[in-house]
Amino acid sequence: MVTLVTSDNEKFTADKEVAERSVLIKNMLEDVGESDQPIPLPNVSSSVLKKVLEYCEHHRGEPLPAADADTTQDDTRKRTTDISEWDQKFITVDQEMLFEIILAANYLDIKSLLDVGCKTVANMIKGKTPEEIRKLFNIVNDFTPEEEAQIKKENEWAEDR
Amino acid sequence: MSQTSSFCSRCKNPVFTPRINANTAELYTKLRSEYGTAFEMQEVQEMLLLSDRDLEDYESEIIRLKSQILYVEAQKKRLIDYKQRLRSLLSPTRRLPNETLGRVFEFACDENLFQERHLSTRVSPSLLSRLPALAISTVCTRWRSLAISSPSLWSKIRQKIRSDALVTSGQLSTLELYWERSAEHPLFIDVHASRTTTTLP
Repeated sequence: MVTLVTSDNEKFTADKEVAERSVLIKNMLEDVGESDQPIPLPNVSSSVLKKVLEYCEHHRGEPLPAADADTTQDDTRKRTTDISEWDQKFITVDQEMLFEIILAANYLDIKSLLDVGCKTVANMIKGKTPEEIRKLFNIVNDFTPEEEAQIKKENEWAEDR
Repeated sequence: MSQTSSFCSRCKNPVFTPRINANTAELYTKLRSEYGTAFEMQEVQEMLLLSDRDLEDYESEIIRLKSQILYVEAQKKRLIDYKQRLRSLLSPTRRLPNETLGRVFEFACDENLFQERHLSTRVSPSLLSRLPALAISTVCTRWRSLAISSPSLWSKIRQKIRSDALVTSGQLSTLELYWERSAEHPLFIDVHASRTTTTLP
């Protein structure tokens, strides 16, 4: 068993096999060797780690992506935003939690979870106009009038007429 | 009926004090009683003049207050805009590092659909919503700079050609923009051609 300590000082215990789905934790465990020392995770809160462990538990035993499966390889094939039924249900959370999970997956280096989060955000973006995207993610239009004019020119054909 | 000037405690502007006390009850009594008598015509004439001056002052006061309302409304709008911008600093997308946001964009841009609107009906309410790379590059400066510097986002094109919809120069310019921005990245172009049959009389 591995003990993990969150940013809000809560302790979680997990099977080594489950915790090691995080490359960060796996490397840390390899570095410290056989030890009961709790692993501090200062960038992950308890509510987020609970979700992350739920994901790791469900996907326990599945093959991990190869370390060299970088984006260069991914780019050459068509990406898909399909998400499995369980993952879809798992990631049906509010926007705040969704981004917290993505940040945690990035920090803990859990590629499959990072992809689930990124695909979910990508699916939220798909089929939307820039204004709808801004509204969805609370982003303001910060273009200068010159940039705005350039964009208008570029988007002339695709904009509403 | 003498006019005393006072000042507004907040804006320090002189507050208009009316010369006429528009006591309608008193006037009503007069209207119902003073028939055929030589009541003070001069006094009434004077009151009419004062009423005109009061009306002018009321008009000026209305203009002053309206301009004040406009100023306050403009200030309110400015604060609403400021608050919106302030709140956008908390946007969750701002917390994502460029690498992760770029990954989101990669997934979102797995297909950019080029399709002309039908000649008679509008195929889609917005073609831009089917062109995620273009839409993403139009959201804000950070998204634009990240999108433009990611050639792969511009490389997956699905082209639908219909015999009843002309490929316009606008569409060709947009395709050219995609080709330019896809730079050295291999292009994936999926072309779908469809023919509509026309029944001749």
